[in-house]
Amino acid sequence: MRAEAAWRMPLATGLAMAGLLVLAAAAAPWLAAHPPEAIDFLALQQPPSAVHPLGTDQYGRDVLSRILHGARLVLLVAPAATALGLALGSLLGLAAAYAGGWRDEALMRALDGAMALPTVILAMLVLTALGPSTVNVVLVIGLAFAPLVARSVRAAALAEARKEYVLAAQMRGESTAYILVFEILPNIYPVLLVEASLRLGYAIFTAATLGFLGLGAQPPTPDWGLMVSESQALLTVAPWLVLAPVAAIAYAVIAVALIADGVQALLDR
Amino acid sequence: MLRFLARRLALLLLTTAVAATLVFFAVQVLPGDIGRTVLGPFAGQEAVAALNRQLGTDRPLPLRYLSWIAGVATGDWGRSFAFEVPVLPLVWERLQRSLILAVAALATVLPLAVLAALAAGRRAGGWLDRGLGLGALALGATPEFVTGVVLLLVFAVWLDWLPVQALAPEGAGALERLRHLALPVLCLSLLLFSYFFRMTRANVLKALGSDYVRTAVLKGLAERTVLWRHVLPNAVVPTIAVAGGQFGWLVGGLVVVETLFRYPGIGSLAHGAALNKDVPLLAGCALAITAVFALGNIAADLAAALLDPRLREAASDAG
Repeated sequence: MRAEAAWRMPLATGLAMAGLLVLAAAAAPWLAAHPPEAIDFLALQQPPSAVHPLGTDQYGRDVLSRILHGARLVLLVAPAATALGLALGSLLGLAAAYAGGWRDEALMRALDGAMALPTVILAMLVLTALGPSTVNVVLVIGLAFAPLVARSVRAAALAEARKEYVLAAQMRGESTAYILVFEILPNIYPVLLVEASLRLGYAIFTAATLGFLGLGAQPPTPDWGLMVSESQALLTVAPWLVLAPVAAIAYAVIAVALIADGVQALLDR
Repeated sequence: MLRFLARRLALLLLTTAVAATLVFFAVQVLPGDIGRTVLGPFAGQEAVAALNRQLGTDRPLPLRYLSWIAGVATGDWGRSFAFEVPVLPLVWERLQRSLILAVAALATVLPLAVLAALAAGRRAGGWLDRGLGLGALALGATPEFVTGVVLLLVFAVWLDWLPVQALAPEGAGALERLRHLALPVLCLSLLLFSYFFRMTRANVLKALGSDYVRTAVLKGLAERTVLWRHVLPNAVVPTIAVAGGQFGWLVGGLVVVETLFRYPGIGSLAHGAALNKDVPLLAGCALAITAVFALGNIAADLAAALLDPRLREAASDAG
């Protein structure tokens, strides 16, 4: 009973929290009473009120509307970056397992070298070169995740390669590429599932951090990380400006962390 | 042991070489025209060409690569645009300040996480275990600027206990400096707590289920003695061994925390360089951080090996 509860509670809570976020993002155009980028010089930096439930920022923009539209951005950027990292990483991991021998060794050492650069540093280098933008944030997070995914996929693929169904497929005369993609890949789905749920959390984390550092989405985009850095100087006079995006980020990452925790516990059962 | 060390140092050189290549690729190949990247779309073509000539970026790529690697190896890391000084001494000065912050955070978080893991693992599944587990999960998932802003708001603005800026004014006493460092160190510690706690807790559970702990309990030792003398050492060593792997997190955390608390370390230097498109400085920061990151890994391996005689033997066998 207890072992069962170990995955049910986090997974259910996480999924419920994430579901609410998806709903809020989907309904943002109707839920948000004001356009997220509408400047109102008659309502600068107002504390929360009936008209502006979370107050307004230094340009008179409605904070709640910006948070709701920011949720749409998060739900586009993080899954896209995760999908890119998973696709690229699976490809590299399978290719390494497929090639074997010195090619495998060389590919894995090269990926180790790529991982020697901390993600934020790599992101800063690439975003400086390519220019800061939301699309480039997706690219750079996907690229940074690929070596990590490749490592797990390669290990799982190598363990799977010794099993009898693989031998049977080889006997049938299937090509190695066919075996990797249609025999092995479907059988290592637990690894992919765990990687996907973990990476999704880190993708939100990293995208928010890059936004905060001014290297991601640019003003006036309602990016949560960017909102924190824009209003950081007003911490003493208008704390609601910082607290709203901070709470939104914490909510999103904790929802995904609970899901990842539940998925891991479920598969470890 | 010596051969183990030599192997690790060789690996360090290799990693740094790969990283240097990667940095070269990111800052020299990716932008296409560096002069254009630095000066922006509205600069005249002559200014761009002049800057490229000055930077040597009008030369063919293989030549640029060789001179970059040679420069890195001989300590000529180029000149910063914004500061108009050589990169290496500047990076070195800021790196030292960041190390103070990083070491203080590690020294804070390691004992805290180990104690919390002992307390949690002692009654696995109990309310303390669940509470700490949930707290660690949330802390590990939350970006450090989020926790940092909340810390600032609570301790610096509302309670007014601690200063907002991390760097104490010139000539401040040791206590005053500590007070300034408290918030950023706490912020970094919270970021790292999750990983160390979960790792140590798993090791505590493993040790508690082992034969030697059962023997210790059966021969009538007090629970405290069993925990401190038998479980703790066996749970701490693997944690220290993985501490090196957390340097990447720590470095990423440094960029954010130093920016948030306005601390002039390598992280905020790199951030400023990225915003100013100060390409040589950014490359130098990335290189220095990668080298320190790799060194941290080795240091953690060494510390674990020195603490655990079994690992020491295995290391000299494998070497």
